Amino acid sequence: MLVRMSRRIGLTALLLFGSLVGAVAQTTEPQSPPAAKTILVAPPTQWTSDMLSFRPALSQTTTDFAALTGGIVFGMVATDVNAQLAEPTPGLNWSTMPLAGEFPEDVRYFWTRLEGSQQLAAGITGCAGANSYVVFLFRGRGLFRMSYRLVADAQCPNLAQTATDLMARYVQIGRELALSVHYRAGRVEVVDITDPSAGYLIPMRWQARGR
Amino acid sequence: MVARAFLFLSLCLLAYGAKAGPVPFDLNLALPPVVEDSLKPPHCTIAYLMADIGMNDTYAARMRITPDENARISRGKYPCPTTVPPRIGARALDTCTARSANPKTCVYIDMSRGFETDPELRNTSENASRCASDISSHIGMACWKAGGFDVCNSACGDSPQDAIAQAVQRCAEKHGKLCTITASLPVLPP
Repeated sequence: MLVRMSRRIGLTALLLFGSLVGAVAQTTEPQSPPAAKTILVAPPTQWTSDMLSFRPALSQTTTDFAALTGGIVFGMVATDVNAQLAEPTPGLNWSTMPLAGEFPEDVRYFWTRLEGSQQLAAGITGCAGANSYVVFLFRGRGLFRMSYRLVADAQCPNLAQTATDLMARYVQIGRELALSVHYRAGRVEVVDITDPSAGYLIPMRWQARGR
Repeated sequence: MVARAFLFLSLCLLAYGAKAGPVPFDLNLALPPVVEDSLKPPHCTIAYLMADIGMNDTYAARMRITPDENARISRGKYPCPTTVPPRIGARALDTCTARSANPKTCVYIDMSRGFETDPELRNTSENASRCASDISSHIGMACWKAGGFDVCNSACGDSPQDAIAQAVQRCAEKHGKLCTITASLPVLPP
């Protein structure tokens, strides 16, 4: 009986010591500073009462998408997209546009500085990086992807929150209208906004070369 | 002449009768249909939180459920189903997987103890990552930074502060950490 009691006391002491050590470890460990996390909110989904099928709860149109891009929509030809920009590329035409090598078909592109376009940079709360840019990718039938490339520099060493800000803006648009994807290519934060009717080109990603 | 006057008077009486007749009670003409709809409570909504631990992004999905025709409104709210089929949670997770370059990095936001060493979907809880509009007004989350991504828990509450406070407590109990990275979201869409 005495042996059992002493064992029990020993065990209790061990547990108390363990929790004390745990508490000390908890208070001495470096903690993350208080921060507010951004939640990327997708448009709601409406389910039937039997919860067997669903549809988008909001009826969004290309006008909703155009409101985010300053009038740019999928299917536009390069010259029309260029005309919508605050800093248009002079003399732009299909034959002089470079080929986007990451795609197995004739995909061409041009780009604009992110800093030069208030509309495309809308929603960004911090700095965006002086060398960051937006690439517009086209195939024969028109624009199918806008790709934000956020390049860090000494003034903006971490652009993860900037990418999240951009995602927060585009995630509001349903997947039926625009597919937004956030990934990293080397040290570049990338946010791709793709036409959902682009078929097999949708999962193709950009790889930063020599970065 | 007399016949014409009689006919005229008869028509006047008929017209007056039509005007004075009772309005059918169920037409509810004073209330336009749009106003009537806006007075109805919103459908049950289940809000989910998910994380893309590859990019350290947090996603929210709101699932609205059409009320059953026999559903009874209680305290100004439609009731939510007591059992939520897994397909609704799976569809919520799609909100993240469709936007991630690596869908395997998408998990539910409520993560189990030790998630930082074994960051897999199976170590997250679908039912602890959602809140229903008939019970709570907000879903909250609280996290601590484990290297490249945040390890989080979530909770439901009656205000943003309440939801966050409960998530902070849950995170502290689960992981033994001070969970200082927080956020909240109304369960119902604005």
